[in-house]
Amino acid sequence: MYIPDFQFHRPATVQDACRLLTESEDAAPLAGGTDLLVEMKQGGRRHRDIVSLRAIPQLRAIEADERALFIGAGVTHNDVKASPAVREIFPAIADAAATIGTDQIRNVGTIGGNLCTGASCSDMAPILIALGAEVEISGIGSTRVLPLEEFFVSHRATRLQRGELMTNIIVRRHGDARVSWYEKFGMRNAAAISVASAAVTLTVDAGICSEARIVIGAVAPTPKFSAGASSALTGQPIASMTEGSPLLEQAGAAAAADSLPIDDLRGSSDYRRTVIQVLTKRAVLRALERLPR
Amino acid sequence: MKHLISIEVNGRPYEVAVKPSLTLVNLLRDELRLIGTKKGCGLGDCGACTVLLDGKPVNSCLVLAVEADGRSVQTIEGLSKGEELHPIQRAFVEKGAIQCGYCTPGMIMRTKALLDENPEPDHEEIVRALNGNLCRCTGYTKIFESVEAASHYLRGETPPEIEYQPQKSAMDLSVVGKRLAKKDAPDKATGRAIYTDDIMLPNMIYGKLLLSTVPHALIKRIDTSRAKALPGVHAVLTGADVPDITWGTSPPRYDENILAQKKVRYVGDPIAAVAADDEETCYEALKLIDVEYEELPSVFDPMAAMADGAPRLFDDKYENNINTRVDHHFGDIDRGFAEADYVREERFVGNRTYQNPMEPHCSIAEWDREGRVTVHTSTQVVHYVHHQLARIFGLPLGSIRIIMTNVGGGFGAKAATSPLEILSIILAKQTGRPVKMRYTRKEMYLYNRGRHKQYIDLKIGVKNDGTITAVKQKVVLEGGAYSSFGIVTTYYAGSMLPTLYKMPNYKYDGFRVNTNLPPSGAFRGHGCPHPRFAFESLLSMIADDIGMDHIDIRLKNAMEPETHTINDLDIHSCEFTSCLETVKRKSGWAEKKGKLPPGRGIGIGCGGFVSGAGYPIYRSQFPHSNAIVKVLEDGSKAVLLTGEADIGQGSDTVLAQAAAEAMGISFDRMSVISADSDITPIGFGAYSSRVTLMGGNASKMAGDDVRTQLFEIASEMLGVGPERLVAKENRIFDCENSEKFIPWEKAAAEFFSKKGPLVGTGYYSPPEGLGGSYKGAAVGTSPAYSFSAAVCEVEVDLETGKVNVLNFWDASDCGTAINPMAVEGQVEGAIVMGMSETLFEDQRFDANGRLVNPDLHNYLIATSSDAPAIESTIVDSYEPNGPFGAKEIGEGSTLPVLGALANAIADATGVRIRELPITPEKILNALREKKNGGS
Ligand SMILES: Cc1cc2nc3c(=O)[nH]c(=O)nc-3n(C[C@H](O)[C@H](O)[C@H](O)COP(=O)(O)OP(=O)(O)OC[C@H]3O[C@@H](n4cnc5c(N)ncnc54)[C@H](O)[C@@H]3O)c2cc1C
Ligand code: FES
Ligand code: FES
Repeated sequence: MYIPDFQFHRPATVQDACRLLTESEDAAPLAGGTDLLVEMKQGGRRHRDIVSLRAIPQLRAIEADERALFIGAGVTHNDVKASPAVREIFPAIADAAATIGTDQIRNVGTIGGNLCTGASCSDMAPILIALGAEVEISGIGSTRVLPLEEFFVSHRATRLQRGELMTNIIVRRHGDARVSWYEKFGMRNAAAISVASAAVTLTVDAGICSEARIVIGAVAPTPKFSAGASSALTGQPIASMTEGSPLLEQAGAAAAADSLPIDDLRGSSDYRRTVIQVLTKRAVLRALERLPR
Repeated sequence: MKHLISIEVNGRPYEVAVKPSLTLVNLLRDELRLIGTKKGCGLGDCGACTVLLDGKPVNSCLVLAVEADGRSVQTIEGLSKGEELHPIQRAFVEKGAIQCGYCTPGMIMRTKALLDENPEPDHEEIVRALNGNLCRCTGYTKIFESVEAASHYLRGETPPEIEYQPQKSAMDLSVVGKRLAKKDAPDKATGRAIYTDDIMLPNMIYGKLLLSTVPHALIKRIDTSRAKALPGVHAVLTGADVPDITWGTSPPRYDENILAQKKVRYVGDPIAAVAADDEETCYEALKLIDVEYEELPSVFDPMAAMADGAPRLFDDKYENNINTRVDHHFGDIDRGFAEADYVREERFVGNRTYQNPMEPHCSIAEWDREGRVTVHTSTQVVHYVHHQLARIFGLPLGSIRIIMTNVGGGFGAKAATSPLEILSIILAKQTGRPVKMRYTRKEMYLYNRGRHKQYIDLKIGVKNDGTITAVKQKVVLEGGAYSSFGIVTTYYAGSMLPTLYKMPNYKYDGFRVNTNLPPSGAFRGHGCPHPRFAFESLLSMIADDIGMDHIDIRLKNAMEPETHTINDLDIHSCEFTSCLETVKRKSGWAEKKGKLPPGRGIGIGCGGFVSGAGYPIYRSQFPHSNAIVKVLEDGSKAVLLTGEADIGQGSDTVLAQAAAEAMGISFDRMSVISADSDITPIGFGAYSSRVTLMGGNASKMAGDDVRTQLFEIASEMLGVGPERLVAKENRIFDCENSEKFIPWEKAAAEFFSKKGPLVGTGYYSPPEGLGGSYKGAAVGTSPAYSFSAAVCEVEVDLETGKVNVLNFWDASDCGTAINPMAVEGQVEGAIVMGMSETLFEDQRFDANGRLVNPDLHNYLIATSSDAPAIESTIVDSYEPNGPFGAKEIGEGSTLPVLGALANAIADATGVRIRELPITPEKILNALREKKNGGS
């Protein structure tokens, strides 16, 4: 229950941070610490160097222009939740942030930490992938941007390489015709890790869903884009997406078919398959309710 | 390398050099000695460590101190202005939001942040804001009320008064029957209350245990040399270095070693102990102890453990691992079932739940130069710990002093001696220094003593009109590796069924079985909640089968006052029928039952418990409760000295109320010193719901004694015969002329001047000869029994199986409620704990007997967002054996909850889950089976 000793660094720039992370044989960035410190206390991890990201202002900014929303990797969940820009442009991102842990966790835990942990039950990843978000990754003298969907390799493994930091989450705007919803299912009403979750983004044009993006969480080694569910809805009239409709049932079943759940404390794979169907259908319905009337 | 940080705490700037790995909570507690901030889990799950960092609530256990550099921190200590409580603290105190108080500082800081941001939150906002702060005692209800009241105070308004209709039996009383704030609440609200882990003695070192990593093995060799060589280590002990004596809870089943002697029986069995300068060094040393195991086959399932040829935990006892066998038959069940018009038998299975008091166990031992040892400990039972330690060390009671600090909840987890108490004494002796030992949350789970998982085969026969003719129950209790309370648990699992409903014929077969898992023990309701869940479920199923209303079948069989039960228990007061009628009315049962839409349901469950065990745990002639009242020389105050343990339930307050009423003084003139074996007379402590009745009787008697002595003097002063004197509200007056009076304190001062110290004493033992003469007849005996009924309404998501508990209506017969606010607090806490056990809680083990969820992250307990709305009623009742007519409430209030919730879920879904916890998955599977044509 003690954090093993380490050298502590608090660089002021991304470049300095990347340099520290590269030079050390065994370093880890520290954002909110709600994952990292827990793992270190439980004996699952120890590091020679810990690089705090707290003093890098750039990581803590939320900005929007006419093309996209930029969320710094070091923005806390509560700041995401409260951000007027996020709420206005992508309210479902704020909703997802609000489902995470408790207020105490959301006041320190960051969006970047959530993604970089690479947990399959991450509550931020599904909605961001559904919105087609990209992540900006910086190394010494380099920056690359890749779709978040490609960032996850398997449970707790990501494309981050030694010396790299996630610096920004970029979500491109799509005009008013796009609506989203994040639906999470946990074992109790608050502070619960997802048993399963579904994120939905629907682009609607003249009553037709021109593009559906459905992402399922906690039911596969990584948050997963459900190609089956997404294509089931793409090109379909939204009028046929009503409660109990065959189309919705089909989308739910497709999401379940795309899942690769495991049995664990929080539920059996069978149960997860059932729940993911329900969540997918609900997320679609709730997203549609967001359409301007 | 240390880092120099500047940090502002409660407005005061500090410059401190810290190790980078130091957490903020440890900086505050250990270095700045601001101990108001508590630690309950260390992993971000409980919120006890909540402080405001730059105004925002954070878990200080997950923030590095270096990361707080240049920032401001507010802790509970910074809230009150001098002696004046902050409005939030005041509201928490007044509204009864504080029981054990361990969650309180975090809860108050979270509330502060909420009200700073949103001065007028609605109920939903309050509930949501607090869901990162777990409370195991209060059921959150009074906390919500307090936050609302605080928001009124902060806006300069007076919060609405609670309407309370006093019970008939309390109408003429001045102190008893009043909704008084607890004595200890202000200290707990300000972070001043001292829990064991808050104590740091000069020159103190720390101790830790090495726990077995395998479920069943012979220890071939232990090599401690590397550990001993580690700098900072002061002692390393193994089984060879400690008394080779078995100890435990019930004398016929002392079967635990202080440290393993050759064998370990579960993952978590203590093997070695180390003492070192700090805990981190202890942990390093533990890693350096080499243990060579010869693994033995292990067994985790009680049915498998009972089978012939199963691996045996003890070679010399407990054949087929059956640690306790009970075989009771009262009346004639064959005849009873033959007389029945309808018989149904079902199997029910309970869950292995853990008490999870918010405060982890802690003990500090220190020897003095005269060969006496003082132990500060978080225990529920000072005397039993005292007795057991004296026995283990071969010392008279007088050579050991046990001081109970504030205890952050127990629920049975702290109801017996723990290895920490024993080993801190040994390590302190070895090293000549005070030694502190404490559990982490995970270690608490491994020490365990939680609820026995029970496998119950229950059969009930009824007449067409619902009259019960016979009951047969077979229970297999999964006991874990050692006995703990288990022998008693096994008896309780059977003995309490006949106290609630009249049953002319009853058979009970109990088997407690050892397995290679952590030991089970006594958890609130001790042995009874699972059988009660089974019984209440089956009774409702039978009611449906014979077309009877669920409340009617209960009314038909309800226990009546002055009944001698089939198993020789004597019930005196009993207002069970009134409880049933109350909840029926308040819940709107008639309008709802059978009329709610799909997915919504209502159910009833009932319960009752002993008001204190009729016999002590070990054979002893000592009175069970004792009290001394010492009046201050000027008569301004009276101090109650009691050995009973206030673990948050409020016994200090309740016992002081009883003594004050008896003496005729107001409550503000009382102070209490409790549970310090050098100072207070023996009390058997907080288990079996005994303190209000037994401690109350002793305290009342001590108060009566003071009053009687005082009347001699007052009689002289007033010139009125003592038989005509009355003491009430700080006056002593002539009952025939109340204008003829003297102030109480005047009489008391006069007494001291003439006769020296004014001291009253009292003691209480249950009536002699309680119970029958059959084997095990003692368990279940009590001077009095409580009764209660609860109706629950739920909403179930039929697509996911998720249950939302909407409402609980509870009615309790606890006799006269000495402090109604404390009674409500017990009921609300029990409801939320009971619903949490019913829906969420389960210890799970892997194939190697390793507990996979020993934390509050994967073993979930109810948060504020899960708690239902609760309306509780205390019915009119008077118990002749109780002080001012009082009985118990603490444990009995758990009993109706499981059944009521299970019945409500069955009503909402049309499917019956017979195995706890009732998870969404089980509900969904049952719905699917039903759809596919199953039952
Ligand atoms: C009580 C509790 C409840 C929780 N509930 C939830 C929940 O409901 N849903 C949920 O999704 N999660 C939950 N979590 C997990 C955790 O809080 C979140 O994942 C959080 O967002 C992690 O962010 P952080 O800033 O604390 O990460 P940290 O712990 O600081 O870092 C996490 C990992 O990412 C790395 N990292 C951090 N930032 C960067 C970066 N910018 N670039 C590269 N690597 C980086 C770190 O080195 C580390 O390996 C919970 C945790 C706790 C303790
Ligand atoms: S001690 Fe920090 S959250 Fe439990
Ligand atoms: S009062 Fe909340 S945990 Fe005890």
